[in-house]
Amino acid sequence: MFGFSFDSWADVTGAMYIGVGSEGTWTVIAVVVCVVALAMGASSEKAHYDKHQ
Amino acid sequence: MEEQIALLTANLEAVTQAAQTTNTMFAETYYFLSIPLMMIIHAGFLAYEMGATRLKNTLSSGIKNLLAFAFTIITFYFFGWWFYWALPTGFTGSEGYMAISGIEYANAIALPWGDSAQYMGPNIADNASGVFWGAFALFAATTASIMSGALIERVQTVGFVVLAIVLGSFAWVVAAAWGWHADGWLVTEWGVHDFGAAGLVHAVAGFFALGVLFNLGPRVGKFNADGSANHIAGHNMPLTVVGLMLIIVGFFGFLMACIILPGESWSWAGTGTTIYGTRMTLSALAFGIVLAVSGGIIGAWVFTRDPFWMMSGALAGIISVASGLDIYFPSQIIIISMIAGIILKPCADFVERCGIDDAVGAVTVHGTIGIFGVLMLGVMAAGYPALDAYAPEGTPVITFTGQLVGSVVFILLGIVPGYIVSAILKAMGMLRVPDAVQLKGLDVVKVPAQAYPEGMTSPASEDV
Repeated sequence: MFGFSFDSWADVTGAMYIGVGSEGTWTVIAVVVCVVALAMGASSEKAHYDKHQ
Repeated sequence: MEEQIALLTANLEAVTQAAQTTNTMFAETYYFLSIPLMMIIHAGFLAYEMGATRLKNTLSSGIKNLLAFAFTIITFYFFGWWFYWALPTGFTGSEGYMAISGIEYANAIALPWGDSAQYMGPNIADNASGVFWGAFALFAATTASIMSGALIERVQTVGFVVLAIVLGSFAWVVAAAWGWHADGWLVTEWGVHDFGAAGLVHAVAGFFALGVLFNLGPRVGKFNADGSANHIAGHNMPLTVVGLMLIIVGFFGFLMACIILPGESWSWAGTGTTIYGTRMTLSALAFGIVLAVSGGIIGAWVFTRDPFWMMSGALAGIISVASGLDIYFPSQIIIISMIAGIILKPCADFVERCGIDDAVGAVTVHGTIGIFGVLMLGVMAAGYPALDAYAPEGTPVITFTGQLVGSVVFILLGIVPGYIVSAILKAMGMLRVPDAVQLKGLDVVKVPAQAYPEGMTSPASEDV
């Protein structure tokens, strides 16, 4: 929400945020990536166990 | 004359500002350096658990530790930090006396989105939030890793990660909010004092592990048909013992981060204080930690003569006095930690006789000894202020009853979620590694690498 552009570090006095969209957008993407990683891990793990039973 | 006074005033202001900057940078550096020190705890857990594992499961044990750390840290960023600030007064999320708690306050400072995000990322005007978050995140990862060793060689990786997230980013955080926050209801209503987190980290983690063990069951081959237990030795005792020593080293970082430094807007009154605002010094820790380690080692040596139990005794020594490391006299620490070392092995044997396969004694070292430590402070420090700076009128002092209430709450905050979540995972088929895979070995089934590809024997030297 406080993303901004500036030409000098002298302009920076508080919170910094860079990038397109809001911090919340990036947080949601990060959450989704973690959930997908866990789901893929669970699926892979099950497949390995099934092969060896 | 007036010019000289103006000059002196300006100089005084400049010196004052420089001193404040130095103080702020020192405080930031102090907590920042506690973070890599606490990382050493995880190097220790990694070595310790891989060493305590049979050769066929070495790497899968290590993978489990790495993922517990990674997912706990990330989820602590997503929501764990928020729970700490939201829940001190209870699940109602109302604001406490100090006005630094409650859902509204947590929403303002601990969410990684919206206006709150200014405290959850780079901010030139904020030298505190990141280092405090970092230290707490390492507390969280440490708590989750404590459970890990008890479950080795038969817990599924992703199932374990889910358990680590629940323990590291929720269960212990609730305990910390209630018993390790100046607005925590266990502190303000019962006078609970647990400076070094014997109860709210160690006991919660130990009993969470116990709750999981009820559903997970023992390793294949641990118990015979008549109920007697077989000893399952790890493949590398030296690695295990060195790992335990690394955990001890890391605990210096853990405990130094429990001190609130003076001179900042977020500081308590006084020169240095605990999280409860009661006064203490780093010198108290210097006396206490090394003596507790020594007492625990000697206590465990008396009956076991076993280096594994001696180093577990070192850990138990610290945990047994952690609640009162700010106020115990060193000789008391020697006695209490030695008792912890002595009772350690018999307590672990009792757990095993109950048919529970706690592979590294985590339930005993952290759960039983954690509760022992919380209760001992109720005996030794009864009448001492539980909360000091800015405490509301009528705040109770430390009592045995208060410490007992805290102990019961810590046990429940561990064992209940541990049991429920592991039961759900069990129903989903995500908890226990199939017996056939356990017999074959976890590494060969699911790890694309070998722990010791060249075997354990080095070639004979030709330089003779």
